[in-house]
Amino acid sequence: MVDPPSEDLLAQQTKDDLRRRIEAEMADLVPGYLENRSKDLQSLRVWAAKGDFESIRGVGHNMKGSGRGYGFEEVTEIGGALEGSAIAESGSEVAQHIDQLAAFLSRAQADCRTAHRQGEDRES
Amino acid sequence: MSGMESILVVEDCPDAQAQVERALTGLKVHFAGSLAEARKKLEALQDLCLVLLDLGLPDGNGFSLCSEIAATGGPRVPVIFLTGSDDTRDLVTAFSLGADDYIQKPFVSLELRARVMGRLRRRTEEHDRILEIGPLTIDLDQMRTYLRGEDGRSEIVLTPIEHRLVHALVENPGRLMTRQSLISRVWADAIVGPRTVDTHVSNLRAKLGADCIEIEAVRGVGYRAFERRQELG
Repeated sequence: MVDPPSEDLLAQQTKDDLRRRIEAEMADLVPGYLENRSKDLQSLRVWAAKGDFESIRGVGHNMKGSGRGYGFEEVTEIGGALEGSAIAESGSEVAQHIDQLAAFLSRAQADCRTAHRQGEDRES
Repeated sequence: MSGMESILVVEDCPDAQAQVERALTGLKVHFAGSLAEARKKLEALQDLCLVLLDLGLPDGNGFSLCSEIAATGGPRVPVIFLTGSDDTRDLVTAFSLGADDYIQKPFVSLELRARVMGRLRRRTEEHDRILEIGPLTIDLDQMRTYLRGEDGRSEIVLTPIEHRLVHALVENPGRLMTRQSLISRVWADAIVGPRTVDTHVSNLRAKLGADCIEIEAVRGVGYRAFERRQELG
């Protein structure tokens, strides 16, 4: 007799299925979304240098609210962390989260370019 | 959802706007990025069927707008909060101000669409309990009556008996209602005389005004109501 799948496995499958559906649904909006985050990154660096925590909080809040909807759980997490650090007015934590965002964007944009190339190869 | 009614999304984050727009593909969606812009659109959109409302907006928070929508005369427009706040106090405040649902960001488009469509379905069912004749709207569940005029819609305060009376008269415009049938409908066959009916009809005419509907007396029989048409030329 085959054991039924564990609850953890089912939860993971549901999560994966949901992620795939989000990715498919939002695929054409993703490059624009990442582009907007790159602009945020530049603004965040300027605001961090000036100690403008209110502006950093606002952008962090918006990233937290939008990331998962576009399939980027990491953006939601970094956004939430930025918001919290800005409220605490912790410049060092803000700088750390800005670095995390830069690293994420570098990876995500590379993945995006690869996916785009693969799509073009399939079409040709 | 009857026809293509408008949904107003009050949201200042462009990425969230894009996601909502994608989630509600096929529906007529309008966006406002601030409370001020939302107030203008609320006045302008005559076919509004739902408001999706962010909490944190550049010129204030969504609670004030939710209260304003709830206080507006006429059938209520459902409000769904769409917010990044995970504070339970905000959720409780939203519902206490009359919100119909509360969706926390980040949200999944499929879930947003499902909740919006569910809310619109319920609204359509509720709308069947709204009676309209000319400028008069009668909300049968809330027992409230509204008159649409040049200055917008205002409530006409009726007693419960007057409310049942106007309902009975306008339910089938032009149909003759005998005094006895009105007594049966409005007073549930209590012992009241025909003069009581006449008195209440007279009061009702005074409250509704001359330009609204015409309640015609049929001598010795009863009454019938018509929408009053504009005189031509």
